[in-house]
Amino acid sequence: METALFGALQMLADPQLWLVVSLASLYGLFVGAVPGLTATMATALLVPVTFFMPPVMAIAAIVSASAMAIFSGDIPGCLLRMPGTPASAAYTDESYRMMLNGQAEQALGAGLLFSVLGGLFGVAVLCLAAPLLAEFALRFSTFEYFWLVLFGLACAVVIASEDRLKGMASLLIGLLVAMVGMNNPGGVPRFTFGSIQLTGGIDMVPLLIGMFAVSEIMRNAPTAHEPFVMATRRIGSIFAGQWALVRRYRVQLLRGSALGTAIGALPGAGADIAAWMSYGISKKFSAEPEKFGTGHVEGIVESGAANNSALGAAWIPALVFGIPGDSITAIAIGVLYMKNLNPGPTLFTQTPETVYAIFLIFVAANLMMLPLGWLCIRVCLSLLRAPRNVLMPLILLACIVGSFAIENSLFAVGVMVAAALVAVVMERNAFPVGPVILGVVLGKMLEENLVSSMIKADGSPLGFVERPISATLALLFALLILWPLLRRMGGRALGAARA
Amino acid sequence: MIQLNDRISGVVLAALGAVTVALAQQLPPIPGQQVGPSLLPSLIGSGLVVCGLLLMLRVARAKSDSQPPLAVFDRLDRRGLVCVLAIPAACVIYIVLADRLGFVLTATLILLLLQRTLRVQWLTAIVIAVVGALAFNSVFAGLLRVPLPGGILTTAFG
Repeated sequence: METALFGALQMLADPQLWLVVSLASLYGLFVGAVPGLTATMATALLVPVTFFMPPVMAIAAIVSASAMAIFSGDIPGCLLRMPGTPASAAYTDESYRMMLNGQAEQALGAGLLFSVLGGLFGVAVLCLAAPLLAEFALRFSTFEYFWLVLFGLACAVVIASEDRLKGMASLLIGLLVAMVGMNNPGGVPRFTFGSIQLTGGIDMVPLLIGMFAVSEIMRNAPTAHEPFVMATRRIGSIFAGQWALVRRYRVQLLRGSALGTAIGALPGAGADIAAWMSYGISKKFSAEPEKFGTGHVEGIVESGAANNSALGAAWIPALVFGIPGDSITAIAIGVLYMKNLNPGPTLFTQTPETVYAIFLIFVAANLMMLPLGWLCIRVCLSLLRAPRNVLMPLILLACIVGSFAIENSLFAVGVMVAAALVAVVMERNAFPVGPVILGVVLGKMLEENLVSSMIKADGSPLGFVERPISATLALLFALLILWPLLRRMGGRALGAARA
Repeated sequence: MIQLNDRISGVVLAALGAVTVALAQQLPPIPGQQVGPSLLPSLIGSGLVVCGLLLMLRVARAKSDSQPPLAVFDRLDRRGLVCVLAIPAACVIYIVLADRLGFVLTATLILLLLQRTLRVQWLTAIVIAVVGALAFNSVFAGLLRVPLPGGILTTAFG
């Protein structure tokens, strides 16, 4: 381990790496702070640029940009009541009320400080748990992987979707997209309709940029010319009184970080769910729940910590199994594959120095968030005045060039537009877009493990549950999909007992 | 924008699923194996059919036909719709013209068109369009060596 750690430090001694990390951080802060531009969009748009970087630098850029964007999404939430990123939506009303009460400094400061603390908590768990889990996962065969992928997909539907039926439909559409191309068990052109470009499958990057960036631009376009109206003129010192908050709300901090980490580590559920659940739990266990919604910092402390801790923890299933914890890690997994750093337990045994380097970058990115976030809050009033009607066309050009750059083909630009239109229609009709990406990322893995397991088991379904670990995973999966039903039955039984 | 009723979404999903299953059945099997490239697509297609049917059933069972309104494109006037559709239109313009006009001219054109649609003043729009296109060209074609189409500017001056 010492040699690996030393190797990791050597990798990090590159000054160019830190230049990239700083630039990516500033970029992440900026994109997160502009309302309507999300952390996922920041990450998706970064992919074409990371294409030209060495592996560790590429991951470093993604880690730092996404961490910063999740934090800076709090800023427009507080000042404009518009969450900069969905992960901030849970406590947007609360921090906006605080701003109206003249406590913008405390709301923003708490958002920043507890983002950093929660982030570090999630990273600590990542560093400790991932290598242990990887060692365990070395024993996994296709049967275990099959159940694990299925579990991840089910999480996205059961936990992360408001409307489970529509979540399921989205997921199936994503899986269907992954089926296109020659890369299948038979090696035959599947769903290519005679197109040569489709034989290689549909590339992730233009799809992501279309679904998460171009669709956002379309959503922003009608109001892009209207400047935001801000109810505050200046922001004072954000760190005043924060230490008292840490002492007063240390239980909330720990609870939020722990819940965020747990949700993040679940495949398929990420920062935004973590924030919503934490906010709810905070209110439920609070000594003064009546203050929630009136501009009370307690919920911001807990869910602000939760969403950033989820971000680090989401990398646990991503690195160990190649199963993304949220849409940002789904993109990161795509980058890992592009860089020939195929995620999985062998990543930890073959190139441990890379894994440690990624961990260290996580710690560094969270620490850098403190000064950079402070800087961002200082300039945010002018940042929010950035003319969006000038910005949006430039971002669209970045989307076009980014999609083109991956394969140097205009076909990819076409895929991007199609994906954007589909995403807009889906969102308009309350179909979640996140599960689509999860389906696209995991489709190949699901198929490989399903088909080779079927061949190994000679068509017998018993083969899927014969090994103890695969049986456990199958049971977990069954519990997860039956959970809504069990809860309803439990609630009914309880009601009957009371009556 | 387009708001489909859930019943229509259900029909579309079920139809997509049925087509998927039908196409999957035509895929050749792996010689000597019972399962092959048609297995998972068939399962996915069947799943889509079930989802579509359940969605239709849910609409039929619901008392009112009203859908929860979404804040995204509500109360969109014609201007707003033009703004929304200008975005994919710009991408299509790029796809059609990029190889003929080259990157710099096409990029300038779509930047200008989009900014004007989003009500940026002429002077700002022109300056941003030209500077933006040139900056993108030097970063991506120059620095990152993306082979952006050169087009008529390179033929004329290169």
